[in-house]
Amino acid sequence: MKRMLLPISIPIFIAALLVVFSGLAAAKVSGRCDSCHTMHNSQGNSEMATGEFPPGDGPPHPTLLMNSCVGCHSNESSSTTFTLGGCVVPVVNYTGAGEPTEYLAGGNFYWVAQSGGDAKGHNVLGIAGADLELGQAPGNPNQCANSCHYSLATTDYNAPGCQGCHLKPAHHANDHANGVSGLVTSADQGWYRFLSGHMSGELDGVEGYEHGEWEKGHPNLANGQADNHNSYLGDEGDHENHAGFYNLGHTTTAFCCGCHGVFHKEKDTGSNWIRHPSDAVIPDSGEYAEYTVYDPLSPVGRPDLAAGWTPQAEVRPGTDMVMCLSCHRPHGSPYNDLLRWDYGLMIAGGGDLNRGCFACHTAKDTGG
Amino acid sequence: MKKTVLTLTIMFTAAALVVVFSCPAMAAVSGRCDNCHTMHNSQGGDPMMLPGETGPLSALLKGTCIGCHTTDGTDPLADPLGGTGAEYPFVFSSSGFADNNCLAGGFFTDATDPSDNNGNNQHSLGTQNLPAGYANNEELGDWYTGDTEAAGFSCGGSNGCHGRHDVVDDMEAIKGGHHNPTAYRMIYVSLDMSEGVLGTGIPDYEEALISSGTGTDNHNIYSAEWTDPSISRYCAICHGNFHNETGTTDDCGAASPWLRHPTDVEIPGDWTIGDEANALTGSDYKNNPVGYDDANESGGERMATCLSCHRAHGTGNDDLLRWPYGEQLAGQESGSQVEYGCLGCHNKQR
Repeated sequence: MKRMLLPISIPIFIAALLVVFSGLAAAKVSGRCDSCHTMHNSQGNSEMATGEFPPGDGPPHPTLLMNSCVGCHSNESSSTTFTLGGCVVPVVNYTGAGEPTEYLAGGNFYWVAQSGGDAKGHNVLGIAGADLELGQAPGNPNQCANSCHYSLATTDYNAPGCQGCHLKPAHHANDHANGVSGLVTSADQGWYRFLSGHMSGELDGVEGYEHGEWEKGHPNLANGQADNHNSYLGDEGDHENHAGFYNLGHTTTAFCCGCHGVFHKEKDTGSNWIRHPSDAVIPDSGEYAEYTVYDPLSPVGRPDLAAGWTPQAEVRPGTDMVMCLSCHRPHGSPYNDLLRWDYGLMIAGGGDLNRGCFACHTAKDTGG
Repeated sequence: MKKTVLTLTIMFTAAALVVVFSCPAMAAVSGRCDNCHTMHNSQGGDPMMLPGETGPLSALLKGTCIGCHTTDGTDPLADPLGGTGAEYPFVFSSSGFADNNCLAGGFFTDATDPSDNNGNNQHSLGTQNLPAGYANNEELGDWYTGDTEAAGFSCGGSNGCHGRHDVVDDMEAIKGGHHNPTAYRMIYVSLDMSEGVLGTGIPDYEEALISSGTGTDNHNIYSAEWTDPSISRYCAICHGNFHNETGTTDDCGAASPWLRHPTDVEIPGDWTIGDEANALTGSDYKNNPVGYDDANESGGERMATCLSCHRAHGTGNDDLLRWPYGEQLAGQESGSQVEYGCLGCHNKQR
């Protein structure tokens, strides 16, 4: 079938949507208590805890922790995982020399931490300074002054830093064993990757299937595998209003909309797409029908993600959905706008790439 | 033969109380006076001190604290005179005690090595380091002298644990404590003896509980609560940074999420051990005991204390813990979960 070249009208997202932190958190921790906790912050009359937690506050730390979120989930030797006291710990902030060549599903903060890297990740306190260009989250629907909707990189706002997104960490929540994949659908399980709401969304959070190794191995994961990726919940909702848990269910897109909700106003009054759709069913027709083999680089949302779910190696046009995470990595990536791929390589008619934008827009790369 | 008539001026206490530690007092000693005392440190031209001891000593004693409370046997509660005296507790053995063969207060693993935290598992007698978490601006002020006294950390006094804390000499510090005890284990939250720690001691010092790990009526009863002269408040007179003083929250925080492990705080009722409907087991009493307001076990609310995790003299484990910290593994599969120690209380983290 000859593919048609359609003009690209996808707006560039300046900052990543607060997409599911698919590379951090969740899965019940295991192993020695003293790997993470210190009872009195004292050993041989020396302090045990390091870092600042919350940012700006030195030891002792709440919950008797040895370090902060950033402190525990940073590593200079590994950009994916390391083992601590019998527990596998995901790395979201590689601090070693040189760029990481592998990372987890949520990406890595390495690039945003570099000078000039604001566009390559969420600016999080303890990792990067405040974004020099953006005074608030792009597409911010909530005009709550002095809040994490404006910045995650200062101590001025409530819940700064990591907890601006991972509101209620629950490392001991009884979801599934460390290193093992499992479905997470409730507050008791800590929500998917500890992503939850507050205020009107206090009782809501993200549901999803957590890969036991946080999709370790990006960006080189094989296509068409059922066991090497997360599974995300999708919910069509409408595309003419801002969105959140209240109208998009417990989806990652709903969570992102808490800060980037204006971007979900995707259709005009004439039902024309004016922004890239998210949580929209991939059409089962035309070029979109060609995307049938799951590519971990371009994940999709599953509307039927529920109890009993088993990961799928296929994409189902007409059922599965494009979502925020289809294009972005929430922590950061090597590419501007936290994209999963180099936008500069997305050249219509430039060749049979079949990845990135062209995973769904299968006809655009060959000029069909 | 010259008959020597000794005029006894010491009245034997009637009815040996032997060992039963009633609140607030410990058991008054009983038995022959000369089991412990020597009037002139002389008999047949020889001194009367216990082996290894050099006298004469204060209070006409035959040995120091550790000298008397040391055995070369393996029974931590024994009658050293073979039936002629009362059983009394030993805190050090040259043969070695163990975590399943000791008394409630634990045991010294070495009674002579003053190196700081000797092996990290006991209060090191003789050390001149300040106690971990010592805060000279807390309840009793800057009272501790173990860092400046040549003897270093000792059993009692201003450089030790037992007795009053406004004198240096061990014997002067505990004077009267063996014959007329006024506080649980002769420990006080005051500099003098005006405010003794609350508690009830079991007659065998938990020897049976510790060796068997079973039983529900063979344990001490510890006090807990912010305003009590609790056992945790007592520990805090040395380890002040590890315990909130009454009316303050700086050291441990005001509530969950705590900054340091809380003590004298009620264990949440939705935790297995915090639910008063759940009977405590021998393992609980041995491995993670709780405290009660006014040391009243029937009063209800169960609280964390310093002794929920530690034994005072020492143990076979680092940091004087009742169990090896390295065995505390969270997130284990059902059937292989640890159910004592940290995880004895923190059942949701098993």
